[in-house]
Amino acid sequence: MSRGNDEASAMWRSVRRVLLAGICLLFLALFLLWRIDNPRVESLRMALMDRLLPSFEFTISPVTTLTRIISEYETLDRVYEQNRELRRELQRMKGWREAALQLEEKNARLRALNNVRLSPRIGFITGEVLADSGSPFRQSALLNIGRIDGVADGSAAVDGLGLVGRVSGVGERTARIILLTDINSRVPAVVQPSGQRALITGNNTSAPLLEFVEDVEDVRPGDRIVTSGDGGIFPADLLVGTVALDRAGRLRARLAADYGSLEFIRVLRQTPTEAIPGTGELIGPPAPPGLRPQAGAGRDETAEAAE
Amino acid sequence: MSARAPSPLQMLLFAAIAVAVILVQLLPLQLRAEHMVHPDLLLALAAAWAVRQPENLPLLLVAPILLLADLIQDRPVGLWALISLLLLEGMSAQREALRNRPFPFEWAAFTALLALGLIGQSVVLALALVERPAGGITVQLFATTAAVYPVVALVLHYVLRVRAPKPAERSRRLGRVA
Repeated sequence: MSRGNDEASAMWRSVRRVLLAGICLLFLALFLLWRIDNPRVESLRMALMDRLLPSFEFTISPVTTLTRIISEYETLDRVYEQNRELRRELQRMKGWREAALQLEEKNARLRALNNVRLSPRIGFITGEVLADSGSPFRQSALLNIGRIDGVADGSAAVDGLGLVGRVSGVGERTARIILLTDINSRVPAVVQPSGQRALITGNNTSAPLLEFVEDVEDVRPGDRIVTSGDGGIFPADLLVGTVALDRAGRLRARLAADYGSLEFIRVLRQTPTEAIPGTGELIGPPAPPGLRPQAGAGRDETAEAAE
Repeated sequence: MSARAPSPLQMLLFAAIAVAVILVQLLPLQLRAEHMVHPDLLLALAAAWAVRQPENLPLLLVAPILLLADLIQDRPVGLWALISLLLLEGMSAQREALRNRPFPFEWAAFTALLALGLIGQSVVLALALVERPAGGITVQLFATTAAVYPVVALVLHYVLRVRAPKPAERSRRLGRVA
């Protein structure tokens, strides 16, 4: 009997070895496929998250809320001094609010005088952060809004204050946001008073690098950074943050968005600007009435003259 | 019998803990880039389990879980799952030797295999021209995962009672076979 058992276990062991080799090959093939045909595998990944996460939402949200409550309870003992600080700040803000209201009024008056037509308003849709990437190597967040809510790949994502990142991967009910701090994130931007163009390059730290600045002399710490709208993916003039210098003397962006407490993220729904096809036609002087047949000839003459 | 009979209950326990670990790491508690690097808890758990009760860690259970973790945690698909699987095989192949020695030997074996695995991952990613983050995070991941291994082993032993067969049990078994 022990002999039979031995044979059976030897057979089982060889079957297991074949299985192990098969799984290893499968994993290797998957990795190669991921490397070669990245979009397809990523969309598969997105579909999986789309299927999986909403069903776990009821477990994820209470735990998240609980942990937040605990961490906020720790700051409860500082509530008194925080309150005083906030009151002082509120006082100062009231002054600013007054100034802003007056400016807004003045602005509206001037606009009315100028008959300015602003670009169409950008709509947005707000989603709740379901999950982060779960890995120290990637900086991304998963929202509970997706294609059925009108989220499109590549849209800008902002919190109340500044740019957070970009939609990369949309499922039916979920969407992944690549944060500005992710190593794959590149956003064209303008440094405000000087108008210098730059690229905000994420590098897994909370302050992304500012690269390809033409005149570093013109950029000073504290300058405002806004998106430039180059490339047509982001709308222009979204606040990103302010310029800071790190110890090595490199320019970095101190982000305006509060990454410490990202709970709700807005995804902008931008209608693409209309393209103007071709150039306009030449407009000649109005033809006198009764000379309709010659009008075409006249236009030809002007065309020749223009040439 | 070459080993204890596998127990479906223990397999279920492993699967449940593994899924819970994956989900906990997904919680959006810290979206800042510079928070502490989480240890790869799933790997430490599976490795400790593979030394103690490999019969309750069948390939067809652990491989899909590793792949799932890869897919969910936004890593290159399949690579870390492959390395983890090889590491688990390495641990379980030496289990007899490790069980007969004090725990630090087991810890050292895990740490060495983990270092090999992380180096292997970096090399493959470099060969495949995948953009890699600065080495600091990998080193931190190595340190935290190595540090968490004894804790996982303690929890497995005292809380979940996932233990290797006792020496007496084994010698009796050996006697019967011989």
